[in-house]
Amino acid sequence: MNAQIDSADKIDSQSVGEARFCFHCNELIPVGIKIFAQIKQRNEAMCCEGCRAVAELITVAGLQDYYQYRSQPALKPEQANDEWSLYSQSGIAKQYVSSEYPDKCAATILVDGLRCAACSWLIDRMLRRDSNIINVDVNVATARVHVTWRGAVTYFAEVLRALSRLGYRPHALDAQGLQQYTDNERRNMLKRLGVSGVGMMQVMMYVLPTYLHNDMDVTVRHYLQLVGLMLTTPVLFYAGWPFLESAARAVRLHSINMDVPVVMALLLAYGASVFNTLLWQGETYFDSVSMFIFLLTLSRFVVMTVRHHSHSVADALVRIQPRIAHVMRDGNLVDVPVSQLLNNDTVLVRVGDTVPADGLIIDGCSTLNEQLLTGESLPVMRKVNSSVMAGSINLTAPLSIRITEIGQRTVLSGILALLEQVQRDKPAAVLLADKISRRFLQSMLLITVVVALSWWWIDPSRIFTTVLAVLVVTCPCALSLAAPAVIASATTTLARRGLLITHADTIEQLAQVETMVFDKTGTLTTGNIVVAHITTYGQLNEDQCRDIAAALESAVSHPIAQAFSSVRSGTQRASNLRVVPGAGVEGEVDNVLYRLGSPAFVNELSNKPLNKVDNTAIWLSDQRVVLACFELSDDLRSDTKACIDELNRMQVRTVVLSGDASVAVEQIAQHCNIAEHHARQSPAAKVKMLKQYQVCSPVAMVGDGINDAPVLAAASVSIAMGAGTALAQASADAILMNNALRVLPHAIAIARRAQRIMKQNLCWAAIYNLSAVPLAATGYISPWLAAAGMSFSSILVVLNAARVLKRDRSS
Amino acid sequence: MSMIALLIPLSLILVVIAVWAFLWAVNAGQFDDLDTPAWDMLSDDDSTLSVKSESIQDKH
Repeated sequence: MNAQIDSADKIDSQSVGEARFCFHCNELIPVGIKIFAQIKQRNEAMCCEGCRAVAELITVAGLQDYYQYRSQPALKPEQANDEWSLYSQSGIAKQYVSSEYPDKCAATILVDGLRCAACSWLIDRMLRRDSNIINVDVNVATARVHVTWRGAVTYFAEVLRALSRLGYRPHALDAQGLQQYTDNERRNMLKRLGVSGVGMMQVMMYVLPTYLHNDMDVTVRHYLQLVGLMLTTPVLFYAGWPFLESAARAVRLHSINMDVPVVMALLLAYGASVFNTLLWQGETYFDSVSMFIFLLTLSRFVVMTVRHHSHSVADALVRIQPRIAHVMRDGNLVDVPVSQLLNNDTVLVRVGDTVPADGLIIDGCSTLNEQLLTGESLPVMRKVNSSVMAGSINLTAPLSIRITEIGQRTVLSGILALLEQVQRDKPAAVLLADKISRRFLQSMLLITVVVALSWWWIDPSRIFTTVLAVLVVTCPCALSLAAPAVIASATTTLARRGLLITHADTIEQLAQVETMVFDKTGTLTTGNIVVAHITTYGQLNEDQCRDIAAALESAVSHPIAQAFSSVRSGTQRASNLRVVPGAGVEGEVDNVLYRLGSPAFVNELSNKPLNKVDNTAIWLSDQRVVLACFELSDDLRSDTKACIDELNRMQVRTVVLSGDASVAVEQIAQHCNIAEHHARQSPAAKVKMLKQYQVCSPVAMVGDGINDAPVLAAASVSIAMGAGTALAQASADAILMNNALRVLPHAIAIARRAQRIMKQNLCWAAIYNLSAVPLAATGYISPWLAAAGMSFSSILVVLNAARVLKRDRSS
Repeated sequence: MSMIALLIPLSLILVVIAVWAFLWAVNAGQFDDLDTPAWDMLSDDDSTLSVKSESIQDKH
């Protein structure tokens, strides 16, 4: 049995048996970790020192109620890395801080990990403890914190530091444009919804008596109709304005969208009602008009709210791009905004910093995390004269880099450009709906003309009422509500389950998905490196080797070192530690000299050549023999197997496309019964492969990294992990909020049910319209009956759509 | 009839006032964040909250 399966089995048995999850971040606690924090007189288990530090900070501040009331687990804190002192330089802080009054500053900060209302409470309480801070305004929906403080601009650094100490990841924001735009959109929509809601209820109230009492006094009747007119006019021209505008735009461009028949029906019903009211004759349809506008606005409001919840492209760019670079100019190290970098500039990249532009290393030797760009999960070694890519993160030692490519030509920009291009040729399911409605509209107008001509020949006095009845009956209200209502309720259901839908046509596509493609690192796996397997060669057993390795790695801050620190249980201390960048670490434990690292480095000490060379393994030796080989891999998510099994049962084909080495991919594929797997795929190769699958049927792609962004954009349905990079989320149709893969099979089931209900709705609306038209055309349906039928069919469609919600609750 | 003639315009005036108040509230940002304000009340009296939360915890 091989290494990967061993570790995966371990996880499976844990989640079935006694799985331990971190009290703070709710991630699985690796075996052997014994870290506790005292919260409310109880010892709660923690997964790492970072979580413990945050939990203790919260407890000491007396804010432990946060744990009681939060609805989402906290973000796992990153390794302490004080990058905030940069912002204490006034030149840099000024870019982000506005100081309209002397001695008073304000800034808006985008906060990663701000997930529920309890977080906002925690941040608010914690920041206000600082007497310099005047006001804190936290908005959970947009993950933004607006802080006002007394004092200098440079105090901004303290604010950012305070947020990061709480375990959040703050990002300074200078662009406010997009945020303002979504705020305005939401406010406008809300105002329209309110006006149409109040208007609709009022109109109903005044119009209902005219339906109930046929013997009503004519004056009273007309008085009520006049009131209906007064109330419906603002509803139509204010609340219904977006529809009027969009229809007008479509007509001007000589095309027809779904709003055109809607607006046509609205205007005809409204026009006929105004006409009748002013002439003191016949029926009015004000109630239908206002109710219809309200229902349409409501369904669009729901869709908009969900869309705003997901992250925007602007947020993504804020997060990836480093904003400030340390440049050598005239012998001095100066901080310069990245946009002002020049070719051949010498840039210093500190540990933990993101490489600002593509370049060559001229001094230093370090490991870099290029996972975002290449998908490679393990850090890569880079030495003098090797090239580095913009967007990779420097992990172990400072580097001096000579810039070779800036701005437009960097690898990062290349991926962004590829993404944009793929996004443009995305198939739009909307086209079909438009085509149908165009046909419908054409035949509707044709029928009306035929009816008018025939009645002109039969009985000219009845032309107006009959034509009006035909127009009202053929009004595609139910037809145009059929799809949006179902989409709105399915979107709400999925959001409740933890899958945020960001595009309206996603549900339709998801229902048809027959192939699901997964990325490996960060999607099927957690992305944390763990020791998967230990092979011992000497007389020491596994645990002893592990303890020695942990002691050696304790001084190193490196993702591979973390794989050991998390299993550290022994009390052994290493002395005389010497870290050799790119090779390994050497030190004494219990007066024996050991080396841990690459085969070549280890061989120098033990003088025993190693045959097997594997990039993902590191070796331990003393001065005489090689003691052990540690195979590293990243953890499978606890619900990966359950998700794949369920998908297989639903006969959805599963595929893994990964940038990783083939062994790791194959092991995971075998263990989880994944039908197909392809390793070592570049982003471009992934797109090509995906397009092949897409020839037969729609494909859903699940991914997390920047390198996945183009593939996500090319897929029929793209699903990004909630913990994934913001860019991947920005290009996705849906975001898996809690990284819970097991939601995916449910999501497909819900989408399929929604699709079924949508078909029922369309069918019902079509049957209603088709059967009512002949009756209206032959004069059997009076206009008021037609209006009642129109309202009834719309309500039926909305109630049917609500079944998606209800069934989910019962299951 | 005369009563209706009087009462309906009165109710319309009330509707106009209600809608105006709603629009004002939206413009003033009252509806921008509906989740956070619910937690503001927890700020003033932390002691009562912790008593309450412990009793909730005991039930579990």
